[in-house]
Amino acid sequence: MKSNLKNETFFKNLATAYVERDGKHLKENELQEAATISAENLDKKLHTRLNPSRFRKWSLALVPLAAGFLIFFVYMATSHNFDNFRNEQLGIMTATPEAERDFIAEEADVADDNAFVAEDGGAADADDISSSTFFFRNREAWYGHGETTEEAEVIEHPPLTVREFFTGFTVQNVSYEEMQNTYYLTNTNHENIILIEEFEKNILDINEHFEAFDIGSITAYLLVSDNEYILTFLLYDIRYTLISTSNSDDLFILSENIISSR
Amino acid sequence: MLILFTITTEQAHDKFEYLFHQYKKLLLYKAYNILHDHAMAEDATSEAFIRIYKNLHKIDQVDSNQTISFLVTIVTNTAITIVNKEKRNNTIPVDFEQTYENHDTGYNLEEEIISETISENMLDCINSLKEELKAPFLLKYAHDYSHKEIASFLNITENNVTVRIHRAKQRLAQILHQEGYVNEI
Repeated sequence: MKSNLKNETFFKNLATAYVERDGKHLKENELQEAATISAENLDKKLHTRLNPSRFRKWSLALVPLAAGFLIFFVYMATSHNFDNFRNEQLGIMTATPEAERDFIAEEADVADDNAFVAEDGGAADADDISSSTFFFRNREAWYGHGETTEEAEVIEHPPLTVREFFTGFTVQNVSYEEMQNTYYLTNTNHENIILIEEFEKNILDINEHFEAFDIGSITAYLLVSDNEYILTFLLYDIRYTLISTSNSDDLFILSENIISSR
Repeated sequence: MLILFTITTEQAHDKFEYLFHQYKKLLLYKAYNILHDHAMAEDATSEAFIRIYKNLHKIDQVDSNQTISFLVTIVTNTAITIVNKEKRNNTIPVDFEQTYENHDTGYNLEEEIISETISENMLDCINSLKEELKAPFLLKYAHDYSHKEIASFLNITENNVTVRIHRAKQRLAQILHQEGYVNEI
C-alpha cells in the first residue's frame, strides 16, 4: 500500500512536470507556427454550435408541440380505422345519413339474398357469396353453415346484423360499446323502439310486475308500465331487451324475428 | 444543452472567448497535423472547444503552460477519435481493447516503487505512450480530473477511463524499468 501511494505521487509529479514542459514548448514554438493557419470557418462553426439560430431555437421549442399534434393525428386516424375494423369484424351496419343508409340497405338485401340461396343448396357460387359482403360471412358464423373460416371463428357473439330482423323497422342509429350494442329503431309509424343487445348470461332482475311469455322455445318477460313497454329474454348467452313507448306488438315482432333466426 | 449555454456566467464567457481567440489556431494546427484535412480539423477543433466549454470551471489560469497542454491534449484526442472513426468506416476496425491487450506487462504497480525524483528523460517516456493512454493519464495526474470528467472529455465510458489509466501506468512502468529509472523493492 505504501509503495502504491508513492507510485501515485510519482505519477502525479511526472505528469505535472510533463504538461509544464509540454505547455512551454507549445507556447514557445508551435503557437508561432500555427499563426498562419486560417481559422475563419472555425469561428463560424463554433458560433453556430454555441449559438443556435433563432429559427433553430424555435424549432427546438416547437418539436414537442409538433410531436403532440402528430400523436393526436395518428390517434385520430387509427382510432377511426380501428372502429371500422371492429365494425366490420362484428358485421354491424354503422349509422349513416339517410341516403347512404338506404344504399347500404339495398346492398344488404342483395347480400341476404345470396346468403339464403347458399343455404338453400348452393345455387350461387360459393366464392362469390363468401366474398360478397361481411353480412354473409357473419351469417355463416352465426348459423354455423358452410365452411368455417378464421374470420367466422373469431365472432363469438355476432350481433344483429341481418336485416330481416328489422323488416318493417328502420335503423336510425346504432351505438356500440364493449359488451353492449344498442339499436335505435322506428316502426312504420315513426314510433321509437330501442333494442339493447348485451353479452350477458343472466336475465334482467325480474320482479312481480313482469309477465312471462313463451316465444318459441324461449321465455320472455314483459313489463308494461304507464308509458313504457319492456320485453327481455336471454338467448344463447345474449340478453335482449326491447323498449317501446307506444306498444308491445313491435317488441314481440322483433323478438320473434330474433328467436326464430337462431 | 441550451440551458447549459444560457446560464453560464459572464466571467466564464470571457474566459472561453479568450481561450478560443488565443489558442484556436494552435488547436486547429495540431488537429490538422493529425487529420491532414482542413474541414475535419475544424470539426475536431470546434468539438474540442465545446468539450472545454463544458468543463471551463476547472481552468484557473488561462495562459499557464498547464492550460495550453490541456487544450492540446483535448484536441489531439478529438482528432484521433475522428481518425479512428474514419478507419472503422473505411478499412480496418481499430479495437482499443485488442490493441492494448497485449501490452499487459504483468507489472504489479502496488509492489513497485518507481522513483523519488523526476528527470527530463523520464518525461520523454510519456511521449512513448499512445495518445489513447496518454490523454487519460495526463488528465488524471496532471490536471486532476475525475474519471467521470475524463470520460466526458474523451467521450468514453468511465470503465474505459479506468482501464486506460491503469494500462498507461503499466506501460510507463515498463518503459521506466527498461530505462533503469525504477527502484524495485
